[in-house]
Amino acid sequence: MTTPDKDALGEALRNDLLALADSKLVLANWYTTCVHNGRSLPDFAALLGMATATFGHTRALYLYLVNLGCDYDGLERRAQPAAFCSMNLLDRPPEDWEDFIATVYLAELAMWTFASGFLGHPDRPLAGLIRKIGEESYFHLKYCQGWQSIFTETGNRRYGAALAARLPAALAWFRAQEDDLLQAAGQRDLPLSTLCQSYRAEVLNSLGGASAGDGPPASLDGWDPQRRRAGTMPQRLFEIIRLKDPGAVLR
Amino acid sequence: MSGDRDFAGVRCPHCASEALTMVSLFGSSVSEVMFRCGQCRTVFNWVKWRGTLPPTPTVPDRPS
Ligand SMILES: [Zn+2]
Repeated sequence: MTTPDKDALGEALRNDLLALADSKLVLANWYTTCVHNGRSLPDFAALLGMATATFGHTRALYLYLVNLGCDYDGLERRAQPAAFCSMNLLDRPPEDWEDFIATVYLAELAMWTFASGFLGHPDRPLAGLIRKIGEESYFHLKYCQGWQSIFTETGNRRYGAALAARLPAALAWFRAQEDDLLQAAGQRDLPLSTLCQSYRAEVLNSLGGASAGDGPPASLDGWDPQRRRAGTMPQRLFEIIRLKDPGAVLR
Repeated sequence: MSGDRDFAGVRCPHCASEALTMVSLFGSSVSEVMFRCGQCRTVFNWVKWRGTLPPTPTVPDRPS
């Protein structure tokens, strides 16, 4: 393998951090959009709290991307759904409360596992940002685990089914190019394939062996390795996440 | 607080009891957990960060 040049490495890091940041933007909007489905006051507080933290992660990552040559306003003001790089897992809205918790759990854990590959990044501000994101994500996952316990105790089978149905899309997000440039250059601690295996094991472990497996792999059709997704974000989702025009008021 | 290692050692700021119930993982602000004391019934917020990370794939020589 040839030594990757600096431009290619910079682009690879930019792509991966933008995929993470955009996915967090969509996840934060899932929290705000679904908050009225909370089952109790603690749910409302949790969903809005997790939304605040997750929007914060997006903003911090966008600001970091400025160091890599991105324009902050340009990132915020992207006007086309095709310009966004969010994970396919979050394209389809939740079908019910169990699907909501399952999807949020898969998304939070996927984003953390992916991000954890940068805990040892040679740029210490990035490593520190990732660690802070992890400390906050810990409590988001704890919230999901609280609901998982309730589903287990009440014999709720819908949750496991929702999780199994969503898992292939979550696993697809880790898909690596033939050469993981960042890992080869010491900028990612572990190969994406290893991160993906750890992720899958953790998810299946969370079900306590009650899983029916994780189904067939997600389709490769239209996969864009730069944006880490297949196809374009649905228009309906784009209308939720995009910044609104000046003077526009949602009713 | 017993039974949850994330909250080990948390005590009621009024009566020092460890007999606490966690009311909400996200209290009056995002950075706080809300507890209720089983002894004096005080409800209080506790700043949650202890540096704990979610499950993280192992890297032999990663700085801690
Ligand atoms: Zn007390």
